[in-house]
Amino acid sequence: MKKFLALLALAILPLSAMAHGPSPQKVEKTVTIKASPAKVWALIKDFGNMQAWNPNITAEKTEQKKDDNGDMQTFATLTLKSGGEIVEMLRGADDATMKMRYEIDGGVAPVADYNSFMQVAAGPGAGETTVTWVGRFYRTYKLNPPIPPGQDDETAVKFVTDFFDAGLAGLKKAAENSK
Amino acid sequence: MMFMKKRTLLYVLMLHLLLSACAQNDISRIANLAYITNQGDNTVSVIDIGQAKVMHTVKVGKAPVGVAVSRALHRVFITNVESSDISVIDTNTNKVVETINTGDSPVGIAIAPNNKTLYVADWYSDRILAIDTTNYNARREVVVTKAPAGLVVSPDSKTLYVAARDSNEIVVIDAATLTITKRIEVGKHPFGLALSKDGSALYSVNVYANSVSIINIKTWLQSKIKVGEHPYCAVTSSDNKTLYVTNTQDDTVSIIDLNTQKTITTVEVGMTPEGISYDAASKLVLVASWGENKVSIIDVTTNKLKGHIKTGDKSRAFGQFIL
Repeated sequence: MKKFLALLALAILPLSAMAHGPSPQKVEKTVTIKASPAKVWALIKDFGNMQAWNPNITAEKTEQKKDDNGDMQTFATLTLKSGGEIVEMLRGADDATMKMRYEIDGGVAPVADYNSFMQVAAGPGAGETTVTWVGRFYRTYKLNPPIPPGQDDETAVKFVTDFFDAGLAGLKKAAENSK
Repeated sequence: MMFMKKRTLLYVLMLHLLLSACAQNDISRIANLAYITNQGDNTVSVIDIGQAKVMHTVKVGKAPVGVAVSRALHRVFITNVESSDISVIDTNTNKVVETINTGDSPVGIAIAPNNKTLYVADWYSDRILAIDTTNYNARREVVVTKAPAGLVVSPDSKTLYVAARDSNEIVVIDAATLTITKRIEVGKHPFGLALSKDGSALYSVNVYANSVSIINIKTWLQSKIKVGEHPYCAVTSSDNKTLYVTNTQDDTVSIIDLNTQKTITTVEVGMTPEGISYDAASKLVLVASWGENKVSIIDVTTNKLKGHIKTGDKSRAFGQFIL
């Protein structure tokens, strides 16, 4: 119950409007997949269908709306297996470089000012593909120490690390098992 | 050469040798040093720009961010935001000789051109500390607005400019009295600041607006230039004709012609470029790449990427970092 309330409190806060911590954090993960880069890229660039490969996500719905600068963007609301929702905004998916960028704009993720990219590249072996997933973000607590548990750097880093690990394992499985 | 007398040829050769010896001397004399803060491993990489390599790695406080250098004092000052202090490096030995406790969260840092005062921006307590460089215990402070970040001091040392990130403004402070004389609204979330060499133009990098504000400090008139995604820091060339801006989420540097106020070109650099400084001696711009733990080097005569130097984990180098 306590954990649920903490998550609820985080969900209510408008993440994008918050000040953030002074030191950005980074999580970088890679996976090698026995499938063609085109096949893996097709899964990743399908921003509205992440539940197809990412086991962290049980459902997803997308909508087009204006961002803070008044530009039309694609937003996705993800329902998490661990409970709660995350709102993400697609920043771009470039076929030439096979790089997809997105940011987190709200929800239960214990991070602030989160932006991230996934990049697909051929190799290292023939018929193999390497996917790199990098996230840059801050903890949610914006005042001086002591930092309450659940709003510190460690919590933010652990959340993103677990999300990436499970996500990349799921991506590998989905790409290698599909025809 | 064929028709030269033997003795003349000898003189020419000797002169040539002498000149190249001088030139070599010059190179070592003008080889500047860059001090790069590495947030992730609590160190500063000292780069010899002439040799393009790290000469020393200095252990500092926790999560170092900002840099201020003073040639006259032979000192480099590093803000450590997580250990709430400043590491003072002696540039003769490249060792930490003192640690100044600031409390709270020091991020932005700048030294007055007259070397008398060190200014420190406290990210969470919204204040600016003015520390006497002859006595670190002699301090004054002023509360500005939300999340002060980048700092620059006018060439005459009389005015301090502060980027107040979360109140979207530049705060102008009279250095003698440490009082606020003006507030200038800029684009959303100003972070890094730069000043023209003569102090007549101020450049504010507006992170959320993806723009740079150019402010005439006599008329306070402002124009804005679009840059890349989530820009962070800027620096001008020594002839004041060009502005270089790091775009953290495009992994690029925008190179802007200040006469036409248009982007000349965009150069790809290491992932998440943050701090940027201009080295007039070598005609290079150095960019700290937080995402790839290195410094990217841009040749300003060609506006092309020249190479990279490996540094430490999560390089930031927020401030003027070239000595």
